[in-house]
Amino acid sequence: MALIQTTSLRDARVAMLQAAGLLALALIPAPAGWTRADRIITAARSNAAERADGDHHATGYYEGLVGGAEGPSGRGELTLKLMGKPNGWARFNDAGVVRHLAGDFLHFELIPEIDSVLFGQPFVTNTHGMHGPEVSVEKPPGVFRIALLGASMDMGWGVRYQDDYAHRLQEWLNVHAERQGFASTRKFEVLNFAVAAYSPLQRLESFRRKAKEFQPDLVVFSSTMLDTRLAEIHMCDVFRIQADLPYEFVREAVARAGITDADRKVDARGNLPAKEAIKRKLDPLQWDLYDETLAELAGDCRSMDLPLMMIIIPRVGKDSDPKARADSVGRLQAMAARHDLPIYDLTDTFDGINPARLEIAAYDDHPNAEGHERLFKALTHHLVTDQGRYELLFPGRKAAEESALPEDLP
Amino acid sequence: MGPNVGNPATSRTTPHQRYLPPAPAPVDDGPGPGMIARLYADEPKNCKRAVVPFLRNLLFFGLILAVCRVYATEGRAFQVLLQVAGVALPIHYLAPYRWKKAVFLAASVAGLFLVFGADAGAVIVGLSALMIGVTRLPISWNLRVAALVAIATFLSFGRPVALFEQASTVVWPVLGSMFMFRLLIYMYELKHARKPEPVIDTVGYFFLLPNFCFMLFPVVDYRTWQRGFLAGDVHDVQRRGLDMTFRGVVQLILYRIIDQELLISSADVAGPWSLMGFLVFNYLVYLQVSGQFHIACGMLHLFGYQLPDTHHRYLLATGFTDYWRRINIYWKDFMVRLVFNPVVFRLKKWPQPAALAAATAAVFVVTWLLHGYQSFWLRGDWGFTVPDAIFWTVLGGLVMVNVQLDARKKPARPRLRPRADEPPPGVDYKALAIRSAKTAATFVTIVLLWSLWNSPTVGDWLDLLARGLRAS
Repeated sequence: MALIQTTSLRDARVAMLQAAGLLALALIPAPAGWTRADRIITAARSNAAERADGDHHATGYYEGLVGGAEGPSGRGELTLKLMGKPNGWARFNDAGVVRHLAGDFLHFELIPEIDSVLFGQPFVTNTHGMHGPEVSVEKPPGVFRIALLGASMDMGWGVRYQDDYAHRLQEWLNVHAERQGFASTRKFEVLNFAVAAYSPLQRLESFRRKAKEFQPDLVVFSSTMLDTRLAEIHMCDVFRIQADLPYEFVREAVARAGITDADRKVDARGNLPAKEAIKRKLDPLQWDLYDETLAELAGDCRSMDLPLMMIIIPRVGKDSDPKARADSVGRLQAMAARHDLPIYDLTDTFDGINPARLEIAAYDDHPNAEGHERLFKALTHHLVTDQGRYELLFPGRKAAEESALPEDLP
Repeated sequence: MGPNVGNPATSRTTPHQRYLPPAPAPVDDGPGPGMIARLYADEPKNCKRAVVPFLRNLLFFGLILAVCRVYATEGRAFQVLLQVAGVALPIHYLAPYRWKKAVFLAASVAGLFLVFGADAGAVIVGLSALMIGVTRLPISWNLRVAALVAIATFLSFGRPVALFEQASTVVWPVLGSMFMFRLLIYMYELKHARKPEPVIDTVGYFFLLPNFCFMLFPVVDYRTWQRGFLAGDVHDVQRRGLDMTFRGVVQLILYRIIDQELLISSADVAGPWSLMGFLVFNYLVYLQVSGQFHIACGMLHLFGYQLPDTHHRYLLATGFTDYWRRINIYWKDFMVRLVFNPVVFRLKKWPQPAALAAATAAVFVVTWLLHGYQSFWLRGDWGFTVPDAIFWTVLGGLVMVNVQLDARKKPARPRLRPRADEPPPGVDYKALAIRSAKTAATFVTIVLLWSLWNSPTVGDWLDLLARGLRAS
């Protein structure tokens, strides 16, 4: 077997032509309708599988090693050095916008009155630690408050709060209220309690500790395809920081999973050596835990006579394609039905659109301003055609038929 | 496996050994050549510069750079190092022969600092200096090895020490990637070397520019690397490197398409077609490794280091020995030099089949252990699993059987050149069919084994096969 073969001039010329061809393939747009070809070119140009924030499958020995990918302590600094990060990029926990709460089940929260830059965009929080404009705790007369509980996409990861779907919804509701003759009697405030990486349990905890105090009139619980993964991370962190478990159903789930005191033991460096074992034990119970979290939240809201609804928000890219999301969406819808909650499935919002157009960066599949605009439109569309919610927002008004959507609907 | 590893370098006498610095100009012989002329005097023929071939290579490099930019190949580190290579390439090309290795080393160190930052870079350079310093201590080889083992053990298990908490977490995998295998090879060479190795070669061997973007790095052999330096015409070496790099980039693009568009999760396997798709594409994600290895070695060619191919059409292997020879050739050579040949030599009084079997078994046991050792340095865990052990045992067993069969075969008779008046031979359909069947059988066995290797447990793998073989 010849181990060293010289490349002839002819072969080099052919390779150069091939390189030029590859450039042309990438730079010349595919004709309209060539979706499959477009998708393949997008895949070829996307480093989605390798990106720094990803939680992708490292299926084999080599995939696990290439690029210093996931180790027992998660994707580390090495991956970030190798794969890169955008200007102004910082790991969310290192960006100086959250504070950690020692021994606290909530684990972390946004720092109030931050004026910083995150992912190259201004990141501003109000005095209550919300990524949004200033609000008072006391609800002003005539104000209808919507409390949004969610994670990074709802918080507005990588976009200004003015561009996120929650704020756009607030702006539109106020404009629409005027058109519906509520100008003097009803104003809307969408209070964004979402914090990046918040698990469903942290959203529940945030509702109890914070959102309730603001006397909301509607609670929107936002779900994503990553929620069970966030729950897994949160539970491991709870054990690591040795926080008490405030909910009986969580304590029971931990016992059911067979997580022992030995598993929860922290080493001298504050790490949780049995993290992988804990994840494995919790894995079969994740959806039950989610269901019980929702049951708890629904119970809280019922006891306060406070309407609760769910939305399902997609990520940009392949992780949220119809096949990948079908199982999670089905489970979330079943849970909503069990707890008699209205649910808007917005997961098709980004279908058929080149992810490169909608994500904040090639290595980060959170929606950019355009993505948030599409989410806002999808959410508004559901709201104006849903009699129950529409009448809650605009008493005495009828929801629109699909064929006769309001003129001011964006 | 075994004796037919071939000699990857085309020349045994390296140019730097052939090269002698010019004698000082006689004092009374009028004005001697200027300083620049003296720097370039008596250079080896292989580094002779020529405008057109170099510009052609530069154009090729520019095209590859553009493809990598447009396709966002790999990540930031690779893009940075590609730019460093782009800047260093003409400097290295124009530099006098005696400076070329230093220019390559400077580019590598610059790449290290640009990718990992000053803090991590300084610690890596410091610890590397310590390790390389130990290899050159004027004490016995055994003592040097003992000192290196002590340092490696301390670095592996001494991380909790407060001092090490200060170092960035990137230091350990990078150091591991630089030293975990190359130090073994280098010390092996030192044991058999008749004279001290040049410092520039030693340091350059550990500081290989592309290593700072590819942590999983081909096990480049020291002597092959050293002997390969300008072993051919510089333009030919560069062109070969550019071709290798481009093939690597294409493989990485194919890997992305497979990973993002074609590979399904093992949980989605239900029926023969999905099983077949899973098995094939799960194996083909190896293109990422082969692509990175091509690029890594291709980049070294740009600086004059002519190296063998890292892979050779491994999808077309016709048997398990053939497969072992074609996939990750550097690893095979590493094992042959450090394990296979020494074991066969020690067992030379044994019957040949027994010696071959023992050496092959030793190769696969060491390969299995070293894959865990590699995982430890790069990921922080040894990663030994039951499927992993079964994979190496079965592959080792299959190669062992093939080695025995190959050893019994009579050497093939050399084909005689056909006479001019002889009609050209027709296509031998029977031989072609046999070869195709062998290739298919090898491929099927390997993809099955590969899926076992990547399964968390044997039970998961059996479950996967059961779901796949059930009629959908």
